[in-house]
Amino acid sequence: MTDKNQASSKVPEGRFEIVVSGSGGQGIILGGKLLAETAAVHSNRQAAMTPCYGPEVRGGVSTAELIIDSATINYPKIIRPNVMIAMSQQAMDKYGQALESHGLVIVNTSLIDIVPDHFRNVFAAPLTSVAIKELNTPVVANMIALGALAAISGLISAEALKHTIKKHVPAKVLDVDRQAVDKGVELARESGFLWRL
Amino acid sequence: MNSAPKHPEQPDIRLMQGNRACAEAALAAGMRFFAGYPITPSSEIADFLASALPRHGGSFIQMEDEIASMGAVLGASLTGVKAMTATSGPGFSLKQELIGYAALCEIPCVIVNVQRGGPSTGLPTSPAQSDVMQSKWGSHGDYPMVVLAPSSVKETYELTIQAFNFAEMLRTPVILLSDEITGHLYEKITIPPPEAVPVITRRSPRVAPNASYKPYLPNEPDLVPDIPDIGTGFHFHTTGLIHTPDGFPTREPEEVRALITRLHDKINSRKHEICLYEERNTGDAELILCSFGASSRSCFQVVEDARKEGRKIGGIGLKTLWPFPDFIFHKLSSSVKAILVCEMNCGHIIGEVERVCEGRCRVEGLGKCTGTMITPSEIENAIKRIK
Amino acid sequence: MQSNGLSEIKHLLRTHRLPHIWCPGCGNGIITQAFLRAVRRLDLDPDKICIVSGIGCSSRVVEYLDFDTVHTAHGRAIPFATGIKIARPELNVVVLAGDGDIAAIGGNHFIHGARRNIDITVIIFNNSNYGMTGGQYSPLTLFGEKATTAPYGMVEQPFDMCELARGAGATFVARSTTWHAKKLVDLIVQGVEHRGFSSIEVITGCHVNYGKRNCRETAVKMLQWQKEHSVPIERFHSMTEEERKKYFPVGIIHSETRPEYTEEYAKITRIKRDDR
Repeated sequence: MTDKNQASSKVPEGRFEIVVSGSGGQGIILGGKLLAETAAVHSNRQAAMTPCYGPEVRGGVSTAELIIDSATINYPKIIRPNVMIAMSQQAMDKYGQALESHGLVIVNTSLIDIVPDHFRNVFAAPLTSVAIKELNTPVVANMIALGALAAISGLISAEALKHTIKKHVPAKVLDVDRQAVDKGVELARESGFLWRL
Repeated sequence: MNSAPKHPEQPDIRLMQGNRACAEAALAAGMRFFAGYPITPSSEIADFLASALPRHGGSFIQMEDEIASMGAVLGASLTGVKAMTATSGPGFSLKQELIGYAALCEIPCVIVNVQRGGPSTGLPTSPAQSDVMQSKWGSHGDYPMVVLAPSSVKETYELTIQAFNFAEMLRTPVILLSDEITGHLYEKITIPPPEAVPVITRRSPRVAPNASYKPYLPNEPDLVPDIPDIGTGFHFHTTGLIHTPDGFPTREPEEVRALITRLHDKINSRKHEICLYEERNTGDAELILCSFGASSRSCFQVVEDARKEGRKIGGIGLKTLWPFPDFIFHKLSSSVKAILVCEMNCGHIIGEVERVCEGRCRVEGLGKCTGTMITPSEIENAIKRIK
Repeated sequence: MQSNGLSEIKHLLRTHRLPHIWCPGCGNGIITQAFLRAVRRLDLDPDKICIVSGIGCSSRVVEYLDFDTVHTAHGRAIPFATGIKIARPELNVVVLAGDGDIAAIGGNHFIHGARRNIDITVIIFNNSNYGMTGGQYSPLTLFGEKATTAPYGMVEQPFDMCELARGAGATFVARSTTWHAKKLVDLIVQGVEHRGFSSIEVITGCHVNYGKRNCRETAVKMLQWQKEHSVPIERFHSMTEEERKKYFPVGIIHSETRPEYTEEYAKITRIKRDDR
């Protein structure tokens, strides 16, 4: 598919350590899987994803830790993450300190008030509010975040992401998920935000 | 993730969890019976097979306990069906008596242990590699064991197939000793087409049923008997008592010795075939990092980092833990200054390495029992202490 | 009609494995004979019978029977039998094991086999004690009776295996004794024919270990005790609560039809097969 070629032409090289974190029920692990699978299947890169959750199914901090690398991934866990999607204040507090100062942080300001002030690259947007207002459901905030990440970082392409989503979600929610990805891309583009390394 | 590619010429690339890869590989190896009991962190294997086995004409059953699931696996395997169970520490302990039964009665089967922190209930969702010795010595009595330890999703797929092949070829239980990290990790994997998967199936008797057939009479040269399947007319006897080639109990010292030594010999005589491992940069290495399972990935990370800086460090990742691949270390211990054994336990494999190196080189250990993975920087610190 | 001679069932025995290990006067031989007569009467294909046992005196029976036989670990006959039956539903799978094996160490497997209603027949050789290890008490030792580990009399209550089986979901439940040797054959025939989990408890005598501690020191006294303490289930029903305490009902205690496990699973397999 043409999208794959387009995407790989602008894919950043090297090892990316990514944290997707939020509350149980926000679709965090699914978000992590979609991100890792899109990178692994739609490009020549390697991906490794570890889901981290407590014994509770709902609530509590839920996190997906990912590595995306153009080379073989030996150590599969994150050491010093350089990309974070923070969906809740608890998640921000738990992982915020570990992030590299020039790392990219996508902050869901609907649920996060306090962001550590040493970060240079903070893309802040009320993801949950946008999801409710534009798409009538809070549960697609994760998809908006992924769309924004795709547009800002080039780690994955939004089109490839939508392909991956199709394989994982039931048909009835596919449309809203795709719209959410587009919404994320739009939010990122409209903001003119750039990741300064 | 569930759908195979429509065009068979396209490689089947997926992002897959380690436990899922184990289940998929078992199906590819011809496994058609699974019995298990829910336990973290292995449950994904049962969850997937409950839905997949009927689609492959096989059977899944969730038994009332860990022991029962092991018993059902052995019953099914006795009828000629490739059978498997999956568990973690507490369940692995409960299965031990029947693992010994399988070894003695030469019943092929695969037991997956996705290791978690112990002892006792321990750390259900955290990794460990502390069942290494149990996997060899867990049941009572003298018996051999084949134990394979995967370090990645891809290796989980490959070694699960290998586990079935060894089990069938040697007529013995094989343990796939995974861990919470590898079991829960999602990674990129290219699923091989079915025709590229080597599948070995146990031999059947080469004669028609007859009263003088000795089901446990070993063949030369592999020392593996052609035991019939239940229901094929041989009217043979299986017993956990020490038995003669005809299958009936004995206490005659010579007959006892013959069986026990044959069980060991059929495996130990093929050590070079069974012992799988990966070497990286060992040729000129002064220091070898030795590990297995998830921990070997930390070691290989350090080897890669060290080589970029010109440090002469090599790595060995053991894929087969038992029988212990002593021959690797016979050679290496004469050419390197030190071996650093890295494992998520209080010292299991290091004892074997020390034993086979016989003082020819330094053997140091990095044992970690915190319920967390060994990090590359912890290995670097351990290396500094050696120098 | 069966003859009383052994000639009719001799071909079903591994005669080269005889003599058996049981003590003279042991009731295990009576049950073995009844089982083989049932096989003969049902005209079962010996190639399609698999006998599974556990550990103990009675479990050694499998060594003497000329079928595919599995002498498993203590208590685990039913899990092995379950695996065999699921993998080869066309086989007649029969478990022959003792009361220690089935009611104590394998008790969990017994109730779950019954609950699943998997088509296996379990014949429990109930001699009320662990004979092979010298006469310890079992979950079926009667209240007040003695065993090596109950030297002052049993203070635990025994299971009623038939009520346990019925409560757990077994769809054929029967009891007999070695005194009722001929009726036992009828019950085994019906148990094997029944589609579902069949539990047949047979009260048998171990005069050497159990009887001698409980004033029944000969095989004859054991049989007499069985005769005196058992009543047909029909008569048992008409007894008062007080009278019932003195007797075991014998005969078919319970029989019903419920979906059988392997048939239900086969339905799923038929629908899902090759649906990938």
